[in-house]
Amino acid sequence: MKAQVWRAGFIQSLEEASDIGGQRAAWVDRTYTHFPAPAELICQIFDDSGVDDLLAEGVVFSETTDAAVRRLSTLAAGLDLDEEPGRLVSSEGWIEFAREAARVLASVREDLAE
Amino acid sequence: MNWELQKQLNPAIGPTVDIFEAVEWLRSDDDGGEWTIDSFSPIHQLNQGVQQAETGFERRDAKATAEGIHNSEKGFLATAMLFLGPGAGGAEAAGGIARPKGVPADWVAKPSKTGGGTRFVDPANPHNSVAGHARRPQESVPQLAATIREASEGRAVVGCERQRRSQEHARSAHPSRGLRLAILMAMARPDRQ
Repeated sequence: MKAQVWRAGFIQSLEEASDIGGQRAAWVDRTYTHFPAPAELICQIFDDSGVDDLLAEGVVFSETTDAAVRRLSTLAAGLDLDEEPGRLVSSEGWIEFAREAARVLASVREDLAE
Repeated sequence: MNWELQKQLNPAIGPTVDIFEAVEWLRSDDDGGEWTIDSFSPIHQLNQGVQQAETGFERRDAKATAEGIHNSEKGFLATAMLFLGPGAGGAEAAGGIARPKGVPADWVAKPSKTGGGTRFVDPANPHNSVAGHARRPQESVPQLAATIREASEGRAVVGCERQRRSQEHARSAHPSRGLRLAILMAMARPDRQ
């Protein structure tokens, strides 16, 4: 049961990372306050979950999903988190990151459903 | 409290002499709370304070809110001290963040994903970690030199944003105390060491 706790947080963070509409509402329009900042999102997905450490040790989800998480990790490393969030959300790098987060999310859900 | 003795007993807090003097100053003008900084776990205190503050706000309970703010400020002060030890900038502090007091020696130091920070990871469970980050330019508390983040089982129990929100609440609810705290944070900046 304990082992699943981190996955719940990981999935929730992926949902937020792939939610471009929510990001714009929070960071550009500022109509939605209960949404993490970009750096917070990256912290949640990688630092809190420890998923990079798990990937270094072996298979975490399926091989396909793990490969997608690694791609997401690479994309995250290339983001400029010092950029103003309203600008960041419109950047190519962030949009690619959000799309990859959506792919990882779908893949993780598929793995867990099996 | 004998601050000189404290500094001798704990070399890790030697460079933070400004903070100790500042806390003494803060205590001298406090409105009744206990400002001891050697009798509690800073991370626990910060976590508890933030939770109390948030719960208080949710319930619109002024007393609970005030207590939460007070406790989070205490934890915040102690947290600031944690990251100003002599290890800052050393070999293990890839992001310029020293190993916080209380973090086991066998927890492995790794760079944080967001850059400019260091995570100390439980070797037996990578979902447990304590991380310190330098302040980001766009963050809303310019006096903040560093932030702390503690994750347990993969979820933040003390997070950058919650800490920042609590700090903002503290400033708006108690302007004078908030100002004093802001000054303390400015004094605690590593570039002053």
